[in-house]
Amino acid sequence: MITAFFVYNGKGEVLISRLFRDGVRRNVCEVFRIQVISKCSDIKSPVLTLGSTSFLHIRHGALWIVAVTRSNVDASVVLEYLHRFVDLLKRLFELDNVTEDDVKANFPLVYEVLDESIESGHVSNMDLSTLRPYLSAPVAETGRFKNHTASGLLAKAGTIRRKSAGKLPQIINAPLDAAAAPHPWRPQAPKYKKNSVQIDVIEDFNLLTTANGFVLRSFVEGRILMDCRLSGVPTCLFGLVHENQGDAYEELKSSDCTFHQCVSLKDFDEHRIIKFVPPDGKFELLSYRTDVENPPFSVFTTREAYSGDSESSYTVDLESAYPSTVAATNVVLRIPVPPGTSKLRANTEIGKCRLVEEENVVQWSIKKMNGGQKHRLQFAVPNSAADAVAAKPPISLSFSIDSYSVGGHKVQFFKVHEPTMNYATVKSVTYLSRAKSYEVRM
Amino acid sequence: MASSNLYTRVRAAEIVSELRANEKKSRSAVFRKSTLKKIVANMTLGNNEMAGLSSEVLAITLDLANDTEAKRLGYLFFSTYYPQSPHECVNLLPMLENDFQSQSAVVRSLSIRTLATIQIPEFLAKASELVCEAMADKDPHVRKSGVYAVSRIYGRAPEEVREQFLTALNHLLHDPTVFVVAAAVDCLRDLVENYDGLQLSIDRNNCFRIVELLAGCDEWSQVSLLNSVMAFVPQTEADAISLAEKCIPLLQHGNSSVVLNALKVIVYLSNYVRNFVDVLPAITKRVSGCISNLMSKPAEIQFLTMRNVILLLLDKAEMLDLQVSMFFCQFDDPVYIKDTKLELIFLLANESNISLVLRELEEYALEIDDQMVRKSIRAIGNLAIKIPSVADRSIEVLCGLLASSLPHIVQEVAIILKDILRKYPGKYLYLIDSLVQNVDLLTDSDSRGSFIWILGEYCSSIPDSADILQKLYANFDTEPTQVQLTTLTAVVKAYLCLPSKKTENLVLDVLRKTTEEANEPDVRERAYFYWRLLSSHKDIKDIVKPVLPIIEVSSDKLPPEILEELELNIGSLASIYLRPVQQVFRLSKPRRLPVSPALTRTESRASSAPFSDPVSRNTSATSVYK
Repeated sequence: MITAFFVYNGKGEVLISRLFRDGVRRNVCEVFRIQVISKCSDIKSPVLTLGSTSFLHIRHGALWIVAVTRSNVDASVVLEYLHRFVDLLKRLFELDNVTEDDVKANFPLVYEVLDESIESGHVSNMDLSTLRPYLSAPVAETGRFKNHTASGLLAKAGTIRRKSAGKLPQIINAPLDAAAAPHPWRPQAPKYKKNSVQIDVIEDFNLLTTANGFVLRSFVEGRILMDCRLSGVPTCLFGLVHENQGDAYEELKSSDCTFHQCVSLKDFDEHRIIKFVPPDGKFELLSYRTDVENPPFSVFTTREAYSGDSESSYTVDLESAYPSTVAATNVVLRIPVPPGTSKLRANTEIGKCRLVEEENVVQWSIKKMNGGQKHRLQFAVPNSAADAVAAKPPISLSFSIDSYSVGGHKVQFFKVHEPTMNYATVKSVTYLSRAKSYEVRM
Repeated sequence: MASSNLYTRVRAAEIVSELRANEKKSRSAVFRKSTLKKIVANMTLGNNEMAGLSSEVLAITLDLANDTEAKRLGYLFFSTYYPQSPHECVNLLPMLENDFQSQSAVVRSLSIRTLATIQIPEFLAKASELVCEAMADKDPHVRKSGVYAVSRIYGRAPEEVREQFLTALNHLLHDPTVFVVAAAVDCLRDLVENYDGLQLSIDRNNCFRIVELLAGCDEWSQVSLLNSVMAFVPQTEADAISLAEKCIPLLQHGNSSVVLNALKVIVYLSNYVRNFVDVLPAITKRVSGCISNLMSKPAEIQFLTMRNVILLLLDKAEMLDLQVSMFFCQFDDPVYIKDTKLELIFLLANESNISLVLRELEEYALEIDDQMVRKSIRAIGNLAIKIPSVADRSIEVLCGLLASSLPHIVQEVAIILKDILRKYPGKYLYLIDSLVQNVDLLTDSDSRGSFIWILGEYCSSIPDSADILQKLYANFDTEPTQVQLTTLTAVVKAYLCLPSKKTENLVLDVLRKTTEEANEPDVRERAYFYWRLLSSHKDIKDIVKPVLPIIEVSSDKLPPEILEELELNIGSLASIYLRPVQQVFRLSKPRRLPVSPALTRTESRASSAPFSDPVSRNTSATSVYK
C-alpha cells in the first residue's frame, strides 16, 4: 500500500510530506524531484519504478501529487486515491482549482485529511460527509470565492472569527455509530425546513471526424449531479430515459453507466431501477456514455491554395443540427493555420473572427446560434514556407447549450420516500450540453 | 498570521528565542500554536534543524492538550523526528496513554496510531499492550485504527504477542461493522505478503457471507472484501458461477478501483468454470461496457485500464468485445496514452475493421511527431504480417507513404520492409524500387542495415544492385558493427549471385579490410569464414544464401505461467509493466492459481510451480481465516 505521500509545487519544492509505513526514508522525495519533475517535458508514464520503489503521480495544475510504494501494490487504488484526494481538497476549500498557496495556507487541514483517510498505508475513508467530523482544523479564508454574490459575501462574513482571548476550540465529538449503518455516506439525519433536490444533467460531447467528414467517434459522456437537501433518511428512485430515433423512450442501457457508491447496484442489475439513499449535499449520482448518431454541429472546411498566389483562402461552413427552438451560446470555432501567420482577411455574416497568433489559430466566435441554421466564414491568410511540414492540429469547436441534452436523455421521474417524515420535495432539473473534445481533422 | 508565511525557513535558535520572549504574554496559547505550525511547515520543507526543538515541541503539545489540531501537529513532529529525540518521546508517553482513555474516539484513534508509529522500545511495549485493547474497543473507528496499528508493529513484536494479534484479527473478521472487517482483511493480507509462515484462506460459508456484505458498504471496504474473495478456492463450478454473478453488478461502480478489482475476481473465478462465456453470456457485454466507461476517466486510470486490456486480450480474449474506434488517439493525449492506444489498435485489428484501422494509422503516420510516425508505420507493416489477407492493402498504404519522401518515413519503411519480404518471399518487390530511389534519405543505421540486407538477398532482382552496394559500402568504416556484419554478408551474396569484375573487387576489398583493419572480433571472424568458404571453390551458395524460414509476427507473447500470475494481479503495478512480477519486484511472493477439482486447464499450468508449499507451514501454522 501507500508508503509515503508527497505534494510538490511546480518548481519541485515539497509542500506536504507524510510517511505511512517503513521502507523508505524522507529523502526519497528528492529522488522523485530529480527523476521526474526536472524532466517534466519527457514523462513517459505516470508510474516510475526504481528498484522496488515505485512513484505514482498525477498533476493538478502546477502541483504534483505523488504516492510512493514499495511492492507490487494495487495501482488502481493508489491512482483513484490520488484523484479523489484532489477532489476532496477542491470540495473542502470550495474552489475549482487548488493552488500552491491554498495548500500552504491549509496545511494542518491537509495533514488531517491524510491522517484520517490513509491508515498505515491503506485507504479507508474518503467521503467528505463522514470525514468532516474528524477534521478539526478550519479552512483558511482564501479571499476569493466562486462568485461575488450576496451569498458569497454572507459566507465571508460568517467566517470572520471573533477575537477570542487566546482560547482555542474544543475537541469535536463525532457522531460515531453512524458508519455502522448500511449507508455510511449519510451519517446524520439532517433536518431541513425546505426539502429540495436539484438535478443537473451535464453532457460533454466528444467527436472525432476525418477530413472528408467520416465520423470516427461520436459520443457523450454524461454526468448526473445532484444537490440533495432532504431531511431524515430518504430512499430515492430515479428514472432516466433515452430518446432514440423513432421518438420511443428507451431505458438507459445497463452497460454504459457507472454509479456512485450509494446506488444499490443489485437493484439496478436485476430490475433496472436506480435506487439509493443519497448523501447530504452535492454529489455525482451516475455517469454514462452513449453514442450519438447526429452530432449537434457539422463543420465543413475547404481550403484553396493556388500556387503562385500569395494567399490561401479557407471556407468554413457551420451547420447546427438541433431543434430551432434551442440555442447554443459561446460557439467558438478554432481553425489552425500555419505557424507564423500574421495577417488575416476575414468575411462573415455573423460572429467575430480574429487571429490568435500565439496559438496559430483563427478563432470564430458566435455569441448565440439557434438550431437549423447555417453560417459561413471565409478568410484568407498569406502562404508561408512552413506550411508543408507543419503539424496539422484538428479544428476544434466549443459550445454550450442550455436546456438541451445532446445525447437525448431525459429525467423521467424522481421519487423520494421517507417513511417517518412525510414531506413534499421541491425538485428542479436543468440540462446542459457542452463540447469536450470536438475534433474535425483537416 | 497567514499560514503561507509559515513556509519560510527559519533557524531553530530564532524559534527558541521567540518562544521565550512571548511566554509571559496572555495570548501565548495562540502564539505557541502558530509556532508549532511554523515548526511543522519547516519540517516539511526539509529543514532538519527542527529536530533540535523537540523539547520545545513537547512542552507546547503538553500545554495545548485540549486542542486536537495542535495535538496532531505535535504527534506528527514526533512521528518524524523520534530517532533524534527518544527521550522526549518517552515523556510524551503518559499523554498518549491518557488520550487512549479519552471520551472522544477521534483522540483514541489518534493515540493508538501514534503509539504504533513511533518505534522506540518503550513505545513498542506499550503499543502491544494497548493495541489489543483497541481492537476490542466499543467504537468501530478505534477498532479499525487498532487493526491497522498491528501491521506496523507486527514485525518487531515477540512471538507470543504476534499470536495474540492474529487471534484478535481473526476475531474481528466477524465484526458487526463492515469496514472493520475490511480493515482486518487488509491487515491480514499485508502480513501474509510480508512475513513468512502465514497463509490466508477462507472457507465457503465465510466467503459467501462476505460477498453479501459487499452490497452495503463503502467503496474502499468493497475493494478489501473483493480481495478477500481472491483467497477462496472454489471447489465446484456452481460456487464459482454464483460468486461471479454477485460481482458482476460491481462493474458499474463509479470508483475505478472497485471496477478493476471486481474484474480481477471475475477473471480469477472464470478459471474454475468450463466455457465461462457460454454459461454467463452477458459477461462479454458487461466487461466491454465497463472498459469503455473506464476510458472516460482521467489519463492515468485510462493508462492502467489499457495495459490490463492488453493482458486480457492475450489470454481471455473471449471475454472482450471492444470497438477499435474507442482507442483512436486524440490530438492532445499524453505520450504514454498514445503509445498504448497504438498497441491496442494493433491487437484489436482484424479483417472486419482493417480498412478503418489502416486509414487511422495512415493519419498518424502523417503527423509531425517523429516517434508516433515510426510506431504507426511499424504497426502497418506488422499488420501486413499478422493478417495475410490484408497484406495487399497495408502495402499499398506503405507505398503511398513512401511517395512523400520524408526521411523518417522512408527509414521506417525500410526497416519494416525487411520483415515483410521475409514473410512473403518474392512479392512486393516494387517497393524496393521506391526505396532505391530514396536511398540517400537512409541516414540512420537501422534503416541502412535493413536496406543492405534487402540488397544482398534480392540482388538478382534489383537492377544495378552492385552499384548501389558499392555506394553504400563507401561508408563502411564509420558504420556500427551490426551494419558492418550485414554489409559483409550482403557483398558475399552479391558476388555469388552476380559474379562480375565489380562484385569481385568489392568482395576482395571488404575481406581485406575486415581481416586486416577491423577491431571487432565478430567482424573479423566472419570475414575469415567467408574467405575460407570462398577459397574452397565449392558451391557455397546454399550456405551463404539459404532459403529462409517464414517469420511470424514478432509478438511479445508471454508464457502461460506469467499470464496466469498477472491475471491474479490485475490492476496492480505489475500489470502495467506486463512482466513477471518478480522481475520487477524482487521481494514479491509468487502466486499461482490454486488447484481444485473445478479448475480447468490443470495440465498446462499448475504443474509448473507449486503453490504455497505445505512445507512452509511448519512455523506458526495459522490458517488465519476460519
